[in-house]
Amino acid sequence: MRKVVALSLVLMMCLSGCSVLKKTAGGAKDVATGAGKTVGQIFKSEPIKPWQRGILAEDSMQLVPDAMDAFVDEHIYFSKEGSRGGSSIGGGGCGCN
Amino acid sequence: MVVGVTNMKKKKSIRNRLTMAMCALAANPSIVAAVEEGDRAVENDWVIDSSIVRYDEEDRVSVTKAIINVGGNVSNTDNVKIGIVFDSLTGATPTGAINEDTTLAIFTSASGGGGFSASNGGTVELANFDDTRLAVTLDWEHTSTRRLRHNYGGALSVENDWRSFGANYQLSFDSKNKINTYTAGVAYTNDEIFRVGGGTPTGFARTDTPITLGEGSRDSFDLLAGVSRVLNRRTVGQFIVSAGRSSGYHNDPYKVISEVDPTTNLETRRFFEQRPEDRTRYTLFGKLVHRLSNERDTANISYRFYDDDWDITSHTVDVKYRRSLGSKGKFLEPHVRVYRQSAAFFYANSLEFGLQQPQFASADSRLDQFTGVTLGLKYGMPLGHNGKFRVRAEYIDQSFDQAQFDTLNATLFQLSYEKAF
Repeated sequence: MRKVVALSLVLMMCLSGCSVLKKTAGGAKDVATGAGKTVGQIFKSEPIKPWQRGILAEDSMQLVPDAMDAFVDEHIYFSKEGSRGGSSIGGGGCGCN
Repeated sequence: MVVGVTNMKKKKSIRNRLTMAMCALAANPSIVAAVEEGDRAVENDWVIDSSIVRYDEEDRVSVTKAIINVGGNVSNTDNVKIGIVFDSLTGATPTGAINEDTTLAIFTSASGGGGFSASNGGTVELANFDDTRLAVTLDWEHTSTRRLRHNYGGALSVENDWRSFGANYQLSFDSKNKINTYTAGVAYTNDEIFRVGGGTPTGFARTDTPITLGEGSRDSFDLLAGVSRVLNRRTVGQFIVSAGRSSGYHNDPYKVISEVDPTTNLETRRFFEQRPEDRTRYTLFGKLVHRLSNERDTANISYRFYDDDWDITSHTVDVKYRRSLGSKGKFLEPHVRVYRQSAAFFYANSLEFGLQQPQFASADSRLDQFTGVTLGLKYGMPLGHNGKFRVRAEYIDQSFDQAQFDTLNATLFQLSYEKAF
C-alpha cells in the first residue's frame, strides 16, 4: 500500500509538471531552489485589489470546492474512524459511530 | 483654487485606475470567467445539487446513499438551504467477539431490523444487519452588513435504532479589506441510542444473560474558531481550532468483547462493551488552496490534528489536485488521503480470564491503532444549461494494528449533478 501511495504522489506531481521534478536534472541545488521558489510563491503575501480576485473567485479555488463530496467523505470517515470534525460544525451525524 | 487642482488630479487618478482595471479585465480570461460565474450567481437564485453514492466494503457493509440539497436566496440578505439524505445499509459488521468456533449464544443484533445471524461458519464475530437512515438539514444564512454574516443550522436524523437532533450557529466577519474572514461557531447535538426492539445492554453484562436498560442519551457541545486569509492572487489559507465535549451513553449497544483463557486460548465468556461516559476532544485544522503558475492546476491541501481524552490522537493529510481540461469547466482531480490514529486507552482485542475486569473495555476496531489510506479520482464537466456533472471513484484501505479483522477495504462510487435556476 505504501508503494501505491508513493506512486500516486509521484503521478500527481508528474501531472502537475511540477517545477521541482523538472529541475531534478540540474542537481540537488536546483531541486532545492525550485522547491523553495514554489513554497515562496504559495506563502508570498501581497495586497489584493478587487479586480485581482479573478482566480480566487473560481470554483476550484474555494476552500470547499465541492460541498456534496465533503459531506459524503465526512460521513464515511466519521463512521469508520475514531476521530471526527475539525473543519466545520453541525451536520446530521449518524448512529454508525 | 488649490482645492480645484487637487480634485482634478483625483478625478484623473480615478479615471486612470478605471481604465487600468478595464484593461486588466479584458486581458485576463480567468477574470472574465469569474465575472461570468458571478453573473450566474446573481441571475440564478436557486441551486439544486443531487448525488447518488454507492459504498462497498469487501465482505462487509454496503451503503447506498441518495442526497439532494436545494438552496437559494429568499431575499437580498437571506439564503436558505435544505438537505435530505437517505441511506440504505446492509451487510455484516464485526461484533468484537474473537474469531473461533463457539457455542456461546449472543443475544444481540447489529444496527437495524435484520437481527443477528452467524455469518461465518457458525462463529459470531460478524453480524448481519439491514438499516435505513433519513436525515434532514436546514441552513439559513443572514447577511446583516457587508462584512457580517450569521448562519443558523439544524439537523434531524432517524434510524431504526438511533435518533439525533442538532442545532448550530456560526458567525463570519470579514476584515475591512476582505483579506481575512474570521469565523466562530457553536453546535449542540442530542443523540438517542437503543437497540432494535428497545433498550440498551448494561456495560459488562454477559451476552447470554443480558441486563437491559432504557434508551441511551448523549449530549454533545462543539466550539469552533477560525480564520481564512487570502495570501495572494493564487493562494487562500485557512486555520481552524475546535473543541468538543460529549456526555452520556457512548457505548455501541451491539459491540461485545470476549474473555479468553490464556492457557487454552478459548473464549470463556462474552460481555457487552463499556466505554467512558464523557469524551473531550480538540482539533487543529489547516488548509491551503493554491493555483499553480501553469494557470490550470489547483492544489487543495489540508492537515488535521486530533486529540481526545480517550487517548486517541490522529493525523490526517488530504491532498486534492485539480487539473482543468480546457476552458469549458472540465476537470480531472486525483485525491490522496492518509490517516493515522492511536488506540483508545481502553481498547483491547479481548479480556484475559482470571484478571480483574477493567473499568472500561471495547474491541471496536475503530478504537484500535490503525492507518487508513484513500486514493481517488474525480471528473467534472458542464452538462446542460447551468448544470455541472461530477463522477468520482475512491478506494479506501485500513490496516489495523491489533483488531482480529486486520484490514478493511472499501470502494466508493459517486455521481452528482448540480443545476442552477
